[in-house]
Formats: sequence, C-alpha cells, structure tokens
Amino acid sequence: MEKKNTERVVVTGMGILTPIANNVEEFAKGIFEGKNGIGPITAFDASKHEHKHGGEVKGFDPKKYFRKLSSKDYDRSTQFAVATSRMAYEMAGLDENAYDPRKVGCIFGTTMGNQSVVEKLDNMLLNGEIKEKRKKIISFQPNLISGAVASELGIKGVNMVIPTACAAGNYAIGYATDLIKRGKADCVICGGSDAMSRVCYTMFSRLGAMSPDLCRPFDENRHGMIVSEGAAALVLESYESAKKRNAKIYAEILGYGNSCDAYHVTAPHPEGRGIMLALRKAFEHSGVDKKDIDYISAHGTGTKANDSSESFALGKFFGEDAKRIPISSIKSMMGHTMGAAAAIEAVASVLVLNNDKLPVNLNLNNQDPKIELNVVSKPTDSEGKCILSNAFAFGGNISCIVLKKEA
Amino acid sequence: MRDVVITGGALISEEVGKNATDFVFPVIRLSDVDYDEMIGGRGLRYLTDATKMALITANKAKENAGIEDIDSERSGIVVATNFSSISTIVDFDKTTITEGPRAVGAMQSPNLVLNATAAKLGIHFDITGFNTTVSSGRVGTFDAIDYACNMIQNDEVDMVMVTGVEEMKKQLRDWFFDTKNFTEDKLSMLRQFCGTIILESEEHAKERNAKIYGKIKGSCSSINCNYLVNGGTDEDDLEEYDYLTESLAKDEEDIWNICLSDDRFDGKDKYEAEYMNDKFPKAKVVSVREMFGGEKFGATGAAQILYSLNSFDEGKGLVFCNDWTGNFRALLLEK
Repeated sequence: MEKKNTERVVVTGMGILTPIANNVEEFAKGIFEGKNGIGPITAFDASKHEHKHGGEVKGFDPKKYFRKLSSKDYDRSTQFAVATSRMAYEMAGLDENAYDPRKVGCIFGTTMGNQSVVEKLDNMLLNGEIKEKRKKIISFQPNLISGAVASELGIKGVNMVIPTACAAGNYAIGYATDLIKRGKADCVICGGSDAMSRVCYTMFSRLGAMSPDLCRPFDENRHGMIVSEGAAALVLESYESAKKRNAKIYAEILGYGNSCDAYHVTAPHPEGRGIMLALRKAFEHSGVDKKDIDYISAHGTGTKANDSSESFALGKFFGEDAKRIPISSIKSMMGHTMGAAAAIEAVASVLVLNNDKLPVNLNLNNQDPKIELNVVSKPTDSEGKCILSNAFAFGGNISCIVLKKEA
Repeated sequence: MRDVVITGGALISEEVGKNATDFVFPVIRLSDVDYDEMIGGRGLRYLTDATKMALITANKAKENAGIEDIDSERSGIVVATNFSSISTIVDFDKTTITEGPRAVGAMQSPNLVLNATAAKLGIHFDITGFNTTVSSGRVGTFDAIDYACNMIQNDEVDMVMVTGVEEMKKQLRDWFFDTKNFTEDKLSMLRQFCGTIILESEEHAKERNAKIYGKIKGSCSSINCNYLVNGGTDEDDLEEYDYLTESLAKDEEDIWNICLSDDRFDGKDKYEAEYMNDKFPKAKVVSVREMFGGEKFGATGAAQILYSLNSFDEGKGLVFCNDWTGNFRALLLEK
C-alpha cells in the first residue's frame, strides 16, 4: 500500500453560488454584513404550498461557464457545480497543464442530485409533452455533477458524488484531503451542489420543518429552516505543491471527523451522540486543542431539534469554552442549501480566516436561554486562526472539519 | 498502512444462474424474497425495496463473515446506489403536481434522499463509526470499496459493510419508458440487485479467526473527458484500459483472472472482452452476466466482486468496470 504523500492539505481556490452572492468577494461582504437572500420561490409553482419563500441563486447564466458541453443538456445542480469549479480553478490559477490530469480529482456532495430533470420530465409527462428520446434526458444521474466538471476542466482522476445530504460538502472535503495525503491525487476540486427542488421543498414542508418567515438559528422563537439552493467548490492541493507553484494559500484543512447517529432517519440524536464522536475524531486528526478554536461555523438550521442538539453537544464537548467561542450560522442569511451547505460554510470559514471578520447570525432577537453559546448577531471583527465547521444530515450523517489560517 | 481483506458477502439477484447452489456466498433469488419473514413486518411499508434488500444482504453477509458483535464506533457503512430514491421521488412528485403538496405523506420523506438506505443500515446495526453513500454511476461499488479501504487504512475503523444496490420496480421501469429515458430493448436489460461485501483490516480478521476470501491489493480510478463531449471512441476506451492495466498489473504474467463488467447496455462488452483476452491471454476471463444476468448499474461492482471471489482461481485477478459517462475502474484482488 502507498506511503503518505503529505501531511498538509491547503485551499488555493474557491467558487460560490448562493442566494446572497454569485462570487467570493460579494459573498464575503454579504456574510460579514448580514445580507438576507430569502425571497419568493420562482423555480416552480409554489402557489399551493403552505410556504412560498426560499433562497434562490439570482442572475445565474450557466453558458458563461460551459466551454465543451452544452449547458442546457444538464440539470441546474450540475450547472452550479461546473460554474463554481471553474471559478475555483481560475482563482487557484490552474489550467489543464498544471498537474497530470490523472492526478486531479473531482468529488462533489449533494442531497437531491440532478432532481430538476426528473421534475421537468414529470411536468412534460403530465402535460403530454414528452418528446422523442434525447441523450440529455439521462442527465438525472447524480454522478453527472462531477462528470461534467471533469469534462469541462479536463480532469481524469478520482471522480465521484457523495449524496450524504446536508453534510455532503464536508464529506467531499474530507475524502479529498485523504486522497491528497495518500498521494492518490495531487489536486482535488471538491464541494457541494443542490438546485431548488420541488420535491425537496415539499418534503420539508410536509415534515413541518419549515419556518413561516425567517430562519432564526438559536433564537427562542425559531420555527424551522428555509429551503434554498446553491453550490461551492474548493481547490485542495498539498502544501508542498501549492508552495512550489507559488499559489496563494487561503487556509489549511487540518482534519475532519465523520460519524453516524444511528438513531433516526430524520431527527438528530437528542444528546448529540454522533456529533460528540465526530468532534472527537476531528480534533484527534487535526491535532488542535479545543482551546485553539476561535470560531464555530454552526450547522444551525433554525429548527428546534437541530439547534438544541447542536448546542447541547457543543456545550458537552467544549465545557465552559462553549460560552466563549463565537458561533454563527450563515443559514440565517441564505437558508439551507442542502448538499451545498457544508461546502458553502467551508468557504465562509476560509473567508473568516482571511478577512478577520465573523459571519452574522441574522434574525437573532432573543437567544434561546437554553442555548448557552456565544452567538454572533452583528458585524464583528475577529483575529481567529482556527475554525470548526459542523454539518449534520438526514440519516444521522455527521461531518466536522477543522481549518486554520496558513502560518 | 493496513491491508484490507474480504471476509463475507451475500446478494439478492433478479436473475440467478444454474451454479448458484455452489456459490461461496449466500445467493437469494429476488422472487424468493419474503420481506416480512426476512426483516420483520414492523415499519416495512415505509422502506424502499433498495433498503429492504440491503437489510437482508447485510444481515446475511454479517452471518457469512461469522460476525456476532459489532463494535459500533470501529465499524462503518458505505452504500453505492444511483436509483434507490427515484421510485419514491417520481411517486411523490406526481402526487404533488396532480393532487397538491398537502396530499403527499410525510412518511415518504426519508426515502426521497439517496442516503436513506445507508442510514437505515446504520440504525439497524447501530454502527456509528461512519456512514457514507456514493453515486458514481455504474462504477459506484468500486468507489464505495475505495472509500471503505481508505477508512480502514487510516485506522478509523476495523470493519466496513459495503453494499451496492439498485431497485428496478415496475413503477420505475414504466417511468423510464414513459419519459423515453430508455428504449424497450434497454429497459429489458435492467435488473434489480443488491450485494453486501464485508471488508476488514487483515489484522482484525485474523484476530477473530475469520475466513478470508480475498485481499484487495490495489485499485485504479479514471474518467475519460471525451465521453460526455462526444460519446467516447474506441481509442478512448483503449487509452483507459491501458491506463488501468498498466497501473495495477505491470507484470501481466502475474494476472490469472479477469472479471468483466460486460457492458451490453452501452455496447462496450465486445471491446472489453477483446482487449482483456488479448492483454492477458493466460488469464481465466469471467463475466458477471454468466451468473447474474442483466444490467445492475451501481450494484454491478458488488456482483462482480462476489462473483470473482467465487470463480477466480488462486492468485491475482483484475475486476473491471466502466460506464457511459466515461468512468473506468479496476480492482486488483488476490484470492
């Protein structure tokens, strides 16, 4: 079996599409100032739904990012993945010649995959509009998300989609880190993508998990989450490779911890069993002490259950430090972007390390007295060097990553 | 870094060849499956066929491996699937459109996500080490195996249940046909299949005196960018097969066995067979379709690996798989 290639994996590029911004600079401005990205749903007819609002990416033109494939042949989730990957690649200063393409991988996380294709076909079927078979109809397969990225960027290495729902982005980042450390890849584009889905929206609505108005993580009067769409991609390389090509290093991925609640398919373990295990592993692998953490990017969906169990687990894990460490949830601003959330939050965490500011936890009017955390509710400066980013998903899939500022 | 071995397996297949009675792993014909009897009736109504099959094969594989107690934190689950949620999604979406969102049942919700099967396995076996789902098209099980090996080799866990599963209920076949996703000819090839493979670190397997069916000696993964651009050519296939074989089998004399994926669905079967017979003239070449028929998409790898361990002669063998999106995978096994 192969020897370890490197001990250090770094972030050299990022791309982002969210309800508050379609590029990294505006995204940074939005999260630090507290920008609201929630509005009426336009992706499908929500007139018969109980709630009619969500977080949608605005003004996205996929044609700008597709050079070899035809963007209209692919689902919006795939379009998002290609767009953010190209943004990240360009930010990292990479092209097809930078690395042996066989040693460049692509791993994306998602919840619903290429769901809008299925929904379009259903609409066509019910309206009697199905046309003769076209190749593009097959593009509901989830693996086209990473396949299209590979085709557009000339990537020939590891290629897969990890559909572990809301934690998927962290799963992609964690596995990418391992592949680089073990020498199976020199560079990996990893991230998460999910477009607005009627099925997903209806699912959360029927589960009673959606807020009637705003997403209020950690607030006493929080009433649920808001379904959104988005994508983020990060370029990961070994520290040595990045230095060799004089790449700008934005952050280092110190480690991650994955676990499973093994409790319930939709509800979190009330005592945070899986969260505690993932946190323990993340800290073991990253080699940092709990006291080193300067900021926590919360999963913070705004539901009673999630925020309570996350807070309980963080309190148990960090002890008194839990009351000191600033924490916020960017879902307060843009809603829950499903399989993209963890990757978007990873980008947000990198931006914290590079801008010395903290993302705002919007809509916090009265913090839940049972949640004894230091929630950041207004624009705040920070000298943070080490961040924990949490992601918890349906099925009890949990992933926590630790990032640090490059010294 | 720790070596990874295969210590158990089990499968459910729509088609089963004549020699299944001698198979080293439990083989259950889909038509013989009684979910009530094999899983128990409680909560069955809300499980997809993919999840039900996975529960059966995982239980049988665990028995086959002689595992009695599972160390929760030192075990993991990986499921490879592409279509396990599509039947539920199609039904859910149709009701949403025709009867309105309030007409759909909340109980269907967990089955709308691809990681539902893995989640259920985690809950059933109380496995907390990790829980992952992989969707890589037809080569999914190979990536699931890679993921599992990574976790064992990193000393995260000692044992992983890897399951490859695809369901192909009539409802889904009808939808594929009605939406003109596949022709009748291609639809006729689709098969429902589920296979679970137990992977362990070699030291853990030996500590508990487990039977070791084979060892994973290496793997190789690639994607050919031309497939989505222009459909891929014979030259593209050749380039990928050359890359995989050269990466894993520098000494061709060392390879005694080959297992083909026999991709008749995309018409790649003849080329694959010609290449392998030419490259490894002394090797025994088997095709998973000989035993388990049809097209199993992401579950293909589970069928191939279990079939290889049953059919290979002693020594090293290569297991190949590819799909229409340009994914190519190979696994080097030693029996």
